[in-house]
Amino acid sequence: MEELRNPIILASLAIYMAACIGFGLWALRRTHSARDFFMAGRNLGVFVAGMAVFSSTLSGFAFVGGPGLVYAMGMSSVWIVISSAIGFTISFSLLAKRLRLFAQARDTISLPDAVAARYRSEASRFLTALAILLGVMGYLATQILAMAMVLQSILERSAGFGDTSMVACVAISAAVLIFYCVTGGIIASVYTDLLQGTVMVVSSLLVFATALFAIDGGAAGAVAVLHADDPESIGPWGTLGMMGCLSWFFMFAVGGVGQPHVVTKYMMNKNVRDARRILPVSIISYTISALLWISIGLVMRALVLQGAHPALATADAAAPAFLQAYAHPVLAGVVFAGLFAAIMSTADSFLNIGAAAIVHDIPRAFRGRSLMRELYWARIATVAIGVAAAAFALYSHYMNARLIALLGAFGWGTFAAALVPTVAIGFNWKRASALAANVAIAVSLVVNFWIELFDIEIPHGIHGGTIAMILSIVLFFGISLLSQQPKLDPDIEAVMDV
Amino acid sequence: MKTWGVVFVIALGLAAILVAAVNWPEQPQGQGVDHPEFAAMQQSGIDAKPDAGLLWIGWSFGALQIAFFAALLALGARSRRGLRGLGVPLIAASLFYLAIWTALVVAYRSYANGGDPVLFLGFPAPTAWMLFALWPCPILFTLYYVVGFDRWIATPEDLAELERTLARLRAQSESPNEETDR
Repeated sequence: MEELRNPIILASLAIYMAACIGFGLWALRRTHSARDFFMAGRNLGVFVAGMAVFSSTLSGFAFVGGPGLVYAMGMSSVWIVISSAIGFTISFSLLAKRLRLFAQARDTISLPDAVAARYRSEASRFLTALAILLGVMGYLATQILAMAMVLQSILERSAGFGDTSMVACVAISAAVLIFYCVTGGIIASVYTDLLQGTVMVVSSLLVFATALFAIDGGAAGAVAVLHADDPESIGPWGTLGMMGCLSWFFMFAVGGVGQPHVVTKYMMNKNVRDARRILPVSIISYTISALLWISIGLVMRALVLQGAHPALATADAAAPAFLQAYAHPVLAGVVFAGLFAAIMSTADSFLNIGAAAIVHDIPRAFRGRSLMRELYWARIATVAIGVAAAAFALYSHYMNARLIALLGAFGWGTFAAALVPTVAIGFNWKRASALAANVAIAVSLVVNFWIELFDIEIPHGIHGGTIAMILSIVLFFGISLLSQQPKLDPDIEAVMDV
Repeated sequence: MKTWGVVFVIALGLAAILVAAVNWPEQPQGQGVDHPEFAAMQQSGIDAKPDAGLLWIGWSFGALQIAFFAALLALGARSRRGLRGLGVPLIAASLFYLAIWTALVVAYRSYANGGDPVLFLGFPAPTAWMLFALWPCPILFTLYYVVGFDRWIATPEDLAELERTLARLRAQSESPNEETDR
């Protein structure tokens, strides 16, 4: 069986990718308008919507970067995982009802649509779309890079493919992703999310069990090894320290409300009351899948410290190396498909909201209407964004190598700081003004990019995204209180009264 | 104080804590350093354990975060009829969450002082608090949302009234249907 490991893994990936392409072709026949392309006809059932929310949240950042972070830093990044239960609940509480009702009242098909309706401001629509576009480019590139790294780690062990370049891996990964997003839009995206989410949950459970048996003494044995090497690494803050961990916790718990690729899904379910059943589906699926993040990272760190496994060249190699060395070949095949599923399920959402920003929101902000033949241009924009993100991924890999999870955290922080005040608070507080929303978005983008581009190191490991988010929230409240009480359209006011 | 006012005041508190933390002296090896044997791995620095002042700042940061979460949940649930009785359960769950957070920090303080660690399910006590108590605790808030949706989040009466209002507004001004084209 062992000699068939790589053929089995490659076959699993091929089947998975073929299924994604199949979903794209199936969805092509159901996509008749831009509303279908961006909003799935607002007709999703509870389970499909719940899996779409969960799988859009848990990305390559989590399945590839997460184990890498635990391998590198011990328990520090587990604070990102444990923020999920409170984060999903806050997100649903603040936005699931409002966004679905906005969609009902105004037929909104994107987050900037809802922002423009709430604030009666095309400038707010434009800035929201711009923030989405900037965040999408960085975050999508992270996903494509993660896919390419996983693919390369598989191919380099396969006869005849050993010297496949990173450029080729990026091209293959991006091509499959772009194909099903172009053909099927959000319908393909959410139904592949269902497949991807299921694969992720199943593979995480299997990996968790495998990880417990990969080291003598199971979890307790791994903890003992880690404790002997460095007690702090298995303490609650890992090697990052208390303030750094808490800043991650805050950014991921509250910042989830500002993730456009996730909250846009709140507009797609059939009925507003479905939200109460979608929430537990999302939380339970996420929690099970997070077991992979923690277990692989801890066990690989312990195995390397023990000398039972060679040291890894990069922390991001933790998940692929574990699967190649310790998982049964069939399980490895399923889980490698799961890794791709995690990455693609987020990436497809980014392609969709990025395309909406270009063909729907930005033209509306300037001309008052979308492009003619919106569906056609949406498909062109999807290709353009995918290709640009693939190029950025290669640039990031060759010119500015950073851990996948840290790039992902920057993308998450960009969305969080820009959109939490404007969307999460502004959709629940009538006093919030358009000026405050615009300033909060602009300032948060400047602060976030300034910290990232100039590599500003904040004491105690505090994440720049947390500082940018709290600053934008305070500015948002302050400017709103200093502005005139804004006038709301009657339908929007009625929605905000519920 | 109104709910949005509570959110704003706590946000100011969070900002103040961050300012205090950024200005708190950082030890030369307060964060992780490269592992001496394994290139892609870190070890904690020799000054990794937070001093008493930083531990207080950290506890306050965590405590204010919990208050902020509860305030945001209240902001999302609030309608023109107020919180409809959700305030007391929210405060109770938040206090429980805060107690767990405090237990984690107390357990960490004794863990950081060295000696044989107290283990629970194989993990040191503060890590066990984090994994087995702090992580699942927000399920209480989730239950309020799931079980109390019709009572606290969106009552059937409110939704029916919204339907009527939207229908009336549509009838008043047949606003152009912004149909998206193919």
